[in-house]
Amino acid sequence: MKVEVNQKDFYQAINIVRKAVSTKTTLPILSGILLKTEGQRLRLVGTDLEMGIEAFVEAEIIEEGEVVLPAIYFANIIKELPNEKVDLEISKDNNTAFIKCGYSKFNINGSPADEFPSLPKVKSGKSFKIKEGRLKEIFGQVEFAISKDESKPFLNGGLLLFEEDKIKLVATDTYRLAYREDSIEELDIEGDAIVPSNTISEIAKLLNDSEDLVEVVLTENQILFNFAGITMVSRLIEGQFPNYKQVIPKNSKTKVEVDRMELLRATKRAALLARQDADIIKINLKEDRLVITANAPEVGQAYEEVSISLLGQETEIAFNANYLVDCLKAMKDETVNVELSGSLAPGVIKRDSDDYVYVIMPVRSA
Amino acid sequence: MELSIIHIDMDAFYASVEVRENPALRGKPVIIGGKSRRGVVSTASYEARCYGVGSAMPIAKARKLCPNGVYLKPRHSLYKEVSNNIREIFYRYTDLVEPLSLDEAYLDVKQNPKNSIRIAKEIKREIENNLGLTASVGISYNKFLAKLASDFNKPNGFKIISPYDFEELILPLDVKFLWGVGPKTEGKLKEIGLYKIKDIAQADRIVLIDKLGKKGYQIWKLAQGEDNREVTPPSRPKSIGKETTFKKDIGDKVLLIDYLKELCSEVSQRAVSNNIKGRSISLKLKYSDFEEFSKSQSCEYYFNKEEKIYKLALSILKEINLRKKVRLIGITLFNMRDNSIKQLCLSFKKTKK
Repeated sequence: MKVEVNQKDFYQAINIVRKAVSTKTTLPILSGILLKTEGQRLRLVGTDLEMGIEAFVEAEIIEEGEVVLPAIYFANIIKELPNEKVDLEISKDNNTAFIKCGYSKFNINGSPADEFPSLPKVKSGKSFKIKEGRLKEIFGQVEFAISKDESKPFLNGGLLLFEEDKIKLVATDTYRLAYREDSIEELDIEGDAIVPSNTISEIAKLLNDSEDLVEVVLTENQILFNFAGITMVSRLIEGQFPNYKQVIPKNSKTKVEVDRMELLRATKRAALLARQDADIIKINLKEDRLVITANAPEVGQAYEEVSISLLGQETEIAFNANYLVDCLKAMKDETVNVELSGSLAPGVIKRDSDDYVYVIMPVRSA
Repeated sequence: MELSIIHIDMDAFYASVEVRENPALRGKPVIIGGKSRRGVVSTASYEARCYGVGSAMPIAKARKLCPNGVYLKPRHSLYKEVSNNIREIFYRYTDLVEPLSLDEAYLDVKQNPKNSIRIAKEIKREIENNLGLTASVGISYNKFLAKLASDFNKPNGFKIISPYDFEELILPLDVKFLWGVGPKTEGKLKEIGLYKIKDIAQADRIVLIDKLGKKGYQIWKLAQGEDNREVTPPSRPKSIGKETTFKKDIGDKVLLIDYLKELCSEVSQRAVSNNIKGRSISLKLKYSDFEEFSKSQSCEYYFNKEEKIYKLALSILKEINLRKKVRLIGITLFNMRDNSIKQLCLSFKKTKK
């Protein structure tokens, strides 16, 4: 194999597929990236067998071929090369890669490509299209609520649901729950799937804030995303996601409308003095103001006030500040609605349109 | 300057507790210490001290000095219990209690309207009447002097050091009585001709700082009778850890897992008794060549149950590729918080399928 690739384009493609390269693996071949000439392009693949990403880069193909190169070394070398033409040549006998760019020369040992597991073939599944920017927002607003508790694998992903022209995504770590829906015209899918946390966060990073379309294909046990020349395939999580509908409160005793950025900034500042106390802040809701306090024994106290309009009872509640920050950061609206029903009942943050709902459980101090 | 700092030091604590438990030992030289060949004396009763037996002395040496002594193995849980009884008395007078060990504590009683000397007398009497033990008590206006005072006429002592006594009582003392002056610093001070606290009080601060750095400034301050350290009640521990060094290096993971289980149990017990939980575990290994390895793992919620600690620790250990034998294994629970705070959970009903 012998190819010429522009350094910047090359690094960009490597950086995309390396997101799927496994960092800890007992199969050494998986710590590499597959490179294969295909027409006038070079195809790159990384996979940890749970997830695989394929990307292409334009190249001058002088001689066809394929190889697997160690991802970390290869990526770091290409990254540091000057933005010029990179010559890559693979020796047929021992898979050594010769990389040349300007006055730089590297040779690194590769592995034969036939040892590299091919990405799972996606059998015909149901598919739909959605704008990149919209899918990115949906993922970004739910992703952080996914549980990291490995003893409950069915919570280690987001529940993706298709119901009546709507795409819905739900995630929970049992302390909070994030729900987002969006309508899609002529949605021809029904059913649900649990998409692994890692897949959601990597795809959210790769998606652009653009109007371009992403094709999503869902099969029995896989999900596939096709966009901007990138293909990502991921296995789905098996298991039963809990019934999320029952934990979203239907009504509340206190309703508040508040400026999102003001609440976010006040929460972040108050949380500076809540570190010692497991990040717990107290929120006091008065008729015209929301007061946040935090207490760090031996250090001091924080007091923050945000003006609000309140409907219903005045109340107080304590939350883990991070849970609040996660949600407020991910939302885009100017104002948000906070709904509470006393200091021990779940709190809700949502936007007017009800297409985003975030439920947080409070903290009880004995 | 208020005389609000009290230092309380139990007299020959372990030995006195043993005598209390077994009155037949009264008046006899009682020595508490590890019974193994390499054990040392942890406490000697005053009767035993007459023979020259002292703390930290090898038991073998003590036996030579005092062959007729009663040698006992320490019973830590008993001492801990008695220590808690003593602290309960302290807390009746103030929350500002800073225990230094099971048998020693500083109290700051400035918030108690009663006269501090009276409080100190009451505490001393209560310890004696209710618990059958004697304490030496020192009262002064800072920690350094309060501790010095309790040492003045041990055992069963009671001493007040007021600012008026300072010149007469403290200045003539040897420099080694200053807090923080051990044998090494003592030597350095005497080398430059400073023998008495008075010498230091009159010495040039700059010279002391030059010679001893930060410590020089500290002891110069003490020699002026100044000590700004506050009585600080123990805060929540930042971590709880336990480690063990093996008698013989271990290369077998199964064996390591056995030890791990034991460590987890101990860490859990300590966390539970402190009423705190942690969110992270770190596992430490020291290999036979003394190379150290440690790795930690965190969880979203706080825990102190043995099973959870063990599960996390085990998952770390399982991932390690043992290339060398291990001489030490340890685990630590950290990212702590008070157990009185509880993060509530969403109540998903169990849906049976």
